[in-house]
Amino acid sequence: MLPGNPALKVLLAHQGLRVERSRCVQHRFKPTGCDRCFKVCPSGAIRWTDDGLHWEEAECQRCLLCVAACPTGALIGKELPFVLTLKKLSTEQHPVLACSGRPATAGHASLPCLGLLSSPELLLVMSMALGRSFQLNLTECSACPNTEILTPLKASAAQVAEIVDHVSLIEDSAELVFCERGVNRREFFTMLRQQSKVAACSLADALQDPPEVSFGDKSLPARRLLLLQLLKRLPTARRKELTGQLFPEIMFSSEDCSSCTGCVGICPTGALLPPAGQGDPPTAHVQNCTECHLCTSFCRSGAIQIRPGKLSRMTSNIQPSRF
Amino acid sequence: MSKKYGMVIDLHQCVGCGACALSCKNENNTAERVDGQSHNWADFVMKTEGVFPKTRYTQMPVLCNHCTDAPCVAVCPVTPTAMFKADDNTTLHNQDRCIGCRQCQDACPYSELVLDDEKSSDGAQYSVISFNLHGKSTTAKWQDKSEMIPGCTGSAAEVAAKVGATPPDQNKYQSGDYKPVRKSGVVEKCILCHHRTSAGMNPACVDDCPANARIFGDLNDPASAISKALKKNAKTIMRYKEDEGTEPNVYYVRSYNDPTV
Repeated sequence: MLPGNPALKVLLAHQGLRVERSRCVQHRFKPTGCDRCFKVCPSGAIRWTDDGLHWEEAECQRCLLCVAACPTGALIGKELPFVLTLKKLSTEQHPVLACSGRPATAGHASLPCLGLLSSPELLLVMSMALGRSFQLNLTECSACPNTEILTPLKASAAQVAEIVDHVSLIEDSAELVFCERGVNRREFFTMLRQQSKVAACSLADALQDPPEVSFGDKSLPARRLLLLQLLKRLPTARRKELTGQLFPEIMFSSEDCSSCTGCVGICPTGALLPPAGQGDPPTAHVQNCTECHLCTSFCRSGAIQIRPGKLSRMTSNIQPSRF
Repeated sequence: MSKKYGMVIDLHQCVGCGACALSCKNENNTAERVDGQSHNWADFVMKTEGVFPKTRYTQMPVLCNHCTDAPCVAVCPVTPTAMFKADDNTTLHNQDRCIGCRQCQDACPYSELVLDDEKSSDGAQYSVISFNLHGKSTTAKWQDKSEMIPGCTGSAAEVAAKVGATPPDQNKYQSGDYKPVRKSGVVEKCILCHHRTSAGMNPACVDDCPANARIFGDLNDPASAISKALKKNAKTIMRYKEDEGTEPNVYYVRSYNDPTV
């Protein structure tokens, strides 16, 4: 079979990573020296080459730590129907999230690796969406080649627990509360339909080249979109409290800002909007800020300062070296 | 040897009529001057010296110099760079990769981040690279239905519709990375009419110069008109802001004021 053969694409492109260059901090502004994903990768499968960010499929252990570490959503895990995973768990009394690692674990739903949840933001989204205690099945982690995920995952869970305390990390199989539910006819067919839909969609995705995204277009990582949706559902008081805590504060020095709008251009998520009046600093939309720090490292006159919100203080373990 | 496109402007021939600037605006659909951005890919440096009656006026047409060591390309932070050199030495721009950070505008010795209105209309200041401000239409002028002179003329859009002409924003040609209608939030600059030169034509400003003051061609080809013109006028060759060290590829020869050279 030839490398470009669609059949091969369908067969091979199941799990893996898509690098969306237009979102990548380093691709947008090389001097930042953002190395968040290289730093967390245990196998060196992701690196910077002359052509830009490169993912070496053969060396990748699918731990998803890089996906969790990227602040701008430039690394997109294929086959990660996270919303569907949440849906499956939400119907359970004592939800258990498992992995399809080596060896795989048992649960009501599974991700390729729970390293993905080393992103506190994603773990927070999960906690808020489920709204009750849930268990992460880590009983096989010590035997799995991706055992490195445990440290960042624990750190992430500890930080999220300060806001919503729903996560239990289960490393000892004796502690696991898992009752596999029998399914009735209706549920069986619903499940079948959902699974076939996901499978068909991912096959169709695999056949299609991803759409070209312009560097100028702004978009939020999927986890931030989910978080913003979940925040909307909260009672007003709690929403205001969380919004104030989670997101950063973006401050402009009006003396230094030349109103050049360069930062508006460099921001990948649309957190900085063009100024209201001529000569003014840009307008900040902090809910869209994922604290990639592109603007602060870019600004020619050093006029931007970001006071971290709780979300990014959580990720301080994966802050890039040079900031 | 690969091509190295450049331009010679014969200042003795040039009368400063402005046809190059108009022709460029029509060809490349550049917006009008707004918020310190000229959007003039072809512009002029004008200078008046001395006290009447001993005065001296010079007008020099300027455009992107398509520098061999282009600082705009060097500073472009995006990978692959949005501002890049084509095989034929033209400095081109890809608006899909451009994030509008304006580093190029800052780095280019021939550009200003914000033009001083007075200085730029007096010809003391110009900018090769212009920025299309965020959220503002780049073709507003061509859609404008208001009368140019109230009670006297129609709008450009109406006139174009009446006579069946193609307004510049409906130029449909495309060449490589170049798009005739730019988005807002990106920079733009002269691309030496790459869509024309790659099809064997001259840049629009060259063809529309009524005084034949502009010669376009391959500097690497000794038999080309541009190489011959440079050889013939070797004594008077000048490059604007040559000491910036960017190796500009627009050459000026002879002088309007001094017919002996």
